[in-house]
Amino acid sequence: MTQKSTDMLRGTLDLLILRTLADAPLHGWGIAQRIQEVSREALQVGQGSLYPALQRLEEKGWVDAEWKATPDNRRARYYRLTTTGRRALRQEEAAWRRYVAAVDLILGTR
Amino acid sequence: MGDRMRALRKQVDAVVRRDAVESERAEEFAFHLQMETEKNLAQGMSPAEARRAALVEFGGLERYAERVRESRRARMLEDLWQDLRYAVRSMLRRPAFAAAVVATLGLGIGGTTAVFSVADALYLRGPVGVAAPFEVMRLWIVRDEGGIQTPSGGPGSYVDYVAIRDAAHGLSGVAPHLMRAADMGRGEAAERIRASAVGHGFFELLGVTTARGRLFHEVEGDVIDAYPVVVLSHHFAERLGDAGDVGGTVDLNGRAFTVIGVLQPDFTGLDAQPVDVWVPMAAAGAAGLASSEPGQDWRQVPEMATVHLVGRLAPGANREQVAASATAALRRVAAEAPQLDPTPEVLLGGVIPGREMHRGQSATLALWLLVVAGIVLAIACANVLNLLLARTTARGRENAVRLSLGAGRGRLVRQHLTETLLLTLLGGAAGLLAAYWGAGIARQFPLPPAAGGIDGRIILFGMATSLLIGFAVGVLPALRASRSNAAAGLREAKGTLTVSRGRLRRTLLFAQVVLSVVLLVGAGLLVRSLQAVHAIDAGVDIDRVMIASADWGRAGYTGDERELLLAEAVRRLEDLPGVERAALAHFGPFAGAAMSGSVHAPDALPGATPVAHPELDWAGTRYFDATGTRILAGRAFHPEDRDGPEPVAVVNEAAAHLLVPGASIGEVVGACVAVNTQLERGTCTRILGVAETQRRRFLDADAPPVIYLSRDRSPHVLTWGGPVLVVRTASAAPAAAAQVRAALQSLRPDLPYISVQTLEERTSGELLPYRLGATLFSLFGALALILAAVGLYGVLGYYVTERTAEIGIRRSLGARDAAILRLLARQALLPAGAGLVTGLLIAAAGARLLEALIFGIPARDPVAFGAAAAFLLLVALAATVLPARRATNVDPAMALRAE
Repeated sequence: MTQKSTDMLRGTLDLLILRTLADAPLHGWGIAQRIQEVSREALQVGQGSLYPALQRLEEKGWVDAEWKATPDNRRARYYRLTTTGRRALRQEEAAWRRYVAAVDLILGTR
Repeated sequence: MGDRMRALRKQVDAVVRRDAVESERAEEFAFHLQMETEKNLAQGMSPAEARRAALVEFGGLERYAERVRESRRARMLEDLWQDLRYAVRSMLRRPAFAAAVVATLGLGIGGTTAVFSVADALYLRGPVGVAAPFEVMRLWIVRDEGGIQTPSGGPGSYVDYVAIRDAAHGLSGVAPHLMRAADMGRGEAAERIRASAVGHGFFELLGVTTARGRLFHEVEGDVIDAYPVVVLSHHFAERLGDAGDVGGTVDLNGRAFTVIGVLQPDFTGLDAQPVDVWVPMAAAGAAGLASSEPGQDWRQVPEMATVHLVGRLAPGANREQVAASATAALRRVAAEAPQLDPTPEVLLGGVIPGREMHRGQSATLALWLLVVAGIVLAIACANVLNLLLARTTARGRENAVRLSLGAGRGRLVRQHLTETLLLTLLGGAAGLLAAYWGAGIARQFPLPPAAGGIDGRIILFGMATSLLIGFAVGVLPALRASRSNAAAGLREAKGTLTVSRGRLRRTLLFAQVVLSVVLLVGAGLLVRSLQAVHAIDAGVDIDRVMIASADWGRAGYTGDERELLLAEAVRRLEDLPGVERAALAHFGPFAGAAMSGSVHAPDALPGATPVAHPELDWAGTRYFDATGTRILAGRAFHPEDRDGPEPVAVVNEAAAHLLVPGASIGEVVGACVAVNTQLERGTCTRILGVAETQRRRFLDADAPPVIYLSRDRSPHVLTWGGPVLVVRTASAAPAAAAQVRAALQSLRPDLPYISVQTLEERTSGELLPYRLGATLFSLFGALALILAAVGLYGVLGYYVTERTAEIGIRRSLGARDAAILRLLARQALLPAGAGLVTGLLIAAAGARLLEALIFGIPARDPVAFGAAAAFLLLVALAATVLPARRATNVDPAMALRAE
């Protein structure tokens, strides 16, 4: 395992969750696992930030949640992207890319 | 449903369906943990390890524990326990704060509880020991007796009782009773007790039984003076010891009575003063409780209105119908007795002291005090609320940390409430202690026996009050605490969050000042009234005079034998250290009985009233010395007057004016007037002098004209009333009275009980409401003032702490101390001043309500109002000075560094 905890800006976590949910509805654990897998263990989502973030997104109306059965027939709370959320994801993604590009520019000038 | 709507509903749900939402969250976390554990298991960890790792991964269960726990009702008790422990810890951390809250509430709740215990006994409870007291009725008889009518009714005759017993409907029972003081024992062992004669069925009607022995048989209550038997109240039997047991003998007014029973311990009669001994109604004459001519049965005399009637309403009966049918029964009797008022009336009243028609002023006073104690409690609550709000603000950071760590807002509210409730319950306990102490004060005044006792009911009241207060003052600060924004709380800079809080606290301060001013004005009015009462010159030195009286004749002291005894008594008393003077009189001052005579003025006295009717009294030598009554003209009696050539008299000022209207009082001195039958006999009485007028009732300025005849010359004129010994002592303390009594009682071994009463005691009934009012209002007023001062100090102190930085900046920018003080004064004195003005206005509007307790001053007495205002301003200034000094001592550099 690489670095155990990578601090993330709050906006970043929201973006990651939105992006993860864009593929398919998932429960909280699933989201955390998925972010970990996709980032090849580079990003560990602490549950202390995951659930508050989910709640925040829910309150904004970007994600919606419902109780559904998992493939092995257990009850879990599944989060899904709403239309507003999808739009927000596009905007956040664009903003992130601009941000990264800007940071790259600065790093590149060294 | 749009996304926005859904989101909105979620937010509403989070508040409205909190429990459901919380339990969903808990389930979600549980699922997460389980998944994590399974993953760890799949990676080859042992189950315990897998779980532990999952917990670590989850970020530590404790971090979420509060949320998880909250959703589980089974854990409520555990929460409570935890909250309590937390509350105790936080209390111990700030002992000064806790002490302030507990002490403040203790005073407020203590006062209210003490007053409630009195009001409870007066208004909510029947006499102790009576079964179903709300069904028990007193029957008051209204009858015009020779022009004197008692509109609220009084006792009736035994004839009335028989008529009502035989004919009235709607009563399951009715019985007569009367109470008198009686003497027990002789000589130095003599004592005065309270005896009650009761008709057949009295105890049965009230549901009272005996602890030992039996109640009266019907025949004992019926055949006159045939059965000398008594039943004792339990407390009295205990005191008598062996003599008080069944078969023992009790001496009542010189007759021996056999004890046949002892009552159940709690019952001591229907009146405020406990009854010691009970005799059957037929034995009332033998026991000296009812007077009758020899050979005559007093029960047959329709004019002898000496018995009180008590009855129990039959199931379903209503008071008006019972009163109407009893009235009809009485009128049938009246038709046969032409000497009586033909239209008597029966009124029904309960036996609950405060609800009776004949309730005393103390019952009204108790209601007043309940209001006053309530006001003090309100002030105390305002103080506590202020303290709690300050504390909540001070703990903003702590709350923010807890919130950000995931504590539920509900949980935070509950925990704050628990803390407040713990404090108020402690305050309630302190209050009960204070009430116990306060009840000692209440017991010094004549109230029902149960009054001022602390029992289960009173404890319940005190605790319920403190719980209620806990919720009332705890909710607002708790909500505020839970509403604090986590991030803002952590970031919080001093003095940025407090505008609205400051306004609330100033409002509370204003309310406190208003209430305190109202109480202070009330206290001022009553204290000034009491001063006015004490300033009364009643023509008698009430502080140093006592009256000794006895039923001399009953013990066989009549005629010359009595005079010998009295002369010896005077000599003996004057030998006592502490006694300045002893003298004889027939009625004496504040006697409660009088006799009027006719005085014919001779033609020689120009402008005289031909026939005047002053009251008569017979006074011995040095009587006026003994009472402290000044001689305004002429002289008082001399010992030589006894054997002088003619009868002599001293008149009081009122009688002098009555005899010769409009003349100076000196003119009657030396005149010879014919008193009563002297005119026919051709003799007259020489007026020696004019004495100051003694009031008949202390508060009644309209004193009677009295002509004092020489008792030395004619000691045997009246067979009723006196004579009495008037004793002037260095101090009229109870100990002095006991000393006088002992000296008198030891004169002869066969003397009856000699009552020694100070004039102070004789007038205390009149003065009681004023004393009680002034004492208790002052007590509560002082309490209110202290609490308001603490409140004022608290608000200001808080303000200074809060603005230390600001004051520091101002000072570093060159602000003078005066400017800083102005800033503070505006904070404190503005609400205090506004409260003062409002309070004075309210007091001015409400002062009339106190009128019954105000004496000798106008209801809007400027002195009382002015003193209250001055007092409050002084306290407000004092409460401002301390924080202000702190503020002007602020070192700018230090203050800024603290920020």
